[in-house]
Amino acid sequence: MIERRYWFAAHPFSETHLLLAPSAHASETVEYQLKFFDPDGLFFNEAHIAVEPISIATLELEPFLHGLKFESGLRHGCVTVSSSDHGNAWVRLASRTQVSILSNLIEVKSEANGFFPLNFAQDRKHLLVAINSSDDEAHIRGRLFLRNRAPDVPLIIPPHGSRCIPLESAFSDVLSEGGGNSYLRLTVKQPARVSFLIAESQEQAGEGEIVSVWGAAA
Amino acid sequence: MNITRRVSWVGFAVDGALTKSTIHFLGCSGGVSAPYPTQVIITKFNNEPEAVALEGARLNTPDGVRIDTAFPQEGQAQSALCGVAVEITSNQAREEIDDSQCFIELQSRNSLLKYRPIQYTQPRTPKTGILIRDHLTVSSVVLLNPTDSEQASPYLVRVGEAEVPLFPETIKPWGVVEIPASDEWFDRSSRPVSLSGGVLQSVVVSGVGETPLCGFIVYRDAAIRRAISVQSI
Repeated sequence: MIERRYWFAAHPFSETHLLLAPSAHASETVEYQLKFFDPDGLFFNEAHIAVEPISIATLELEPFLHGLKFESGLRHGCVTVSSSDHGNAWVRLASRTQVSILSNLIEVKSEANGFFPLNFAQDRKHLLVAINSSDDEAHIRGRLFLRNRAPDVPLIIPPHGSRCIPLESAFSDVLSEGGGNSYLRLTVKQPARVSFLIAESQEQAGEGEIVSVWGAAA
Repeated sequence: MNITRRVSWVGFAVDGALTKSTIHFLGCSGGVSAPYPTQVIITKFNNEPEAVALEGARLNTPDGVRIDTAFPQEGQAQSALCGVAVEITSNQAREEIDDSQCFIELQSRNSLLKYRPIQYTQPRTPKTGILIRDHLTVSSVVLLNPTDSEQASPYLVRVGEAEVPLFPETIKPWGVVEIPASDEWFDRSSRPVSLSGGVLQSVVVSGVGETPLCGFIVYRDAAIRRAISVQSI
């Protein structure tokens, strides 16, 4: 059985879809098992989907998300996609004016670093999305390199859970002195498997807010 | 005895009047916390490779450089789209540096796009990707040839029950091509799915065998063609 893990958000995104495509070698219907986990890592729903070979299944996720709680102002969580086929899946997150396509999450190994280039400005906001795939609580240290400062903050993610951390609040001390180009380095402590994404929103004249999610697998 | 370790990535960038690109990198080794010096070489290509070595980069210290700063002598390019290869070498690390990371950022007015280039080993096994057409999005594929020899594309588009070549021609040494997704691919193969603002259609792109080429699906804003998301294939 092959299992892949995907992060999704239902708000502020207007529509969230999961696209499932069996591999080119599949000659029979492929059965997918979907398991949904809330931000605290609690399993709350599952589904079984059969997809014909040479076809793509497009599932709107909202009908599967009844009871999904808010965390940091977002309804978000993880879905694991399991099948015996080496096919692929993607999450399509659509805000009112912009789409982000996410593939499966990549894990940062323990004692290794996550890394994101960030541009802090008045019209932008950043959420760090941290997803813990392991059975243990994940302890992470986030260090922001901005101008000649490098403050750090500790982060704790529950087992199999996910957290959205507003970076403007987490690093408010240094950001109160102004924004600019910076780097966020995330060091995972202890034997945990953690994945990271950035959800970046920007106010645009005449367009309202656009939201972009990036940082998933290359 | 020093052990030399090297990690490389290949991606695309845009170096034009309206869009600029920045390469961001972090060299890291799991067992080494000291900021040992590293060598960073960036190669920009679009039929011809041009390389520069950056000084001052260190392990565990994030850094970055704008393409137009690294290549200030570059004349007006035929096309703003270019390939970029990034290589980090450390002769101090006692362990692998393959935890190192790289992002490419495309900056234009009211838009910032960042994506991970492909961590490159030659040859590589291509990944499967998905082309999407909906009321917000159009798709294209960028293929890069970071080698000195012509290469055939291994990518196929699944159109109905058939698989058709994504790009039937060969790609020149150090060549870069962008292939817009054809309406015919979607019309012949894809069952439309209703969305609140229109319909969504999708087509799978996959590769056969191994290849030295690198490929990326670029999702663009349907109205103004601004790149909004990138997936490697």
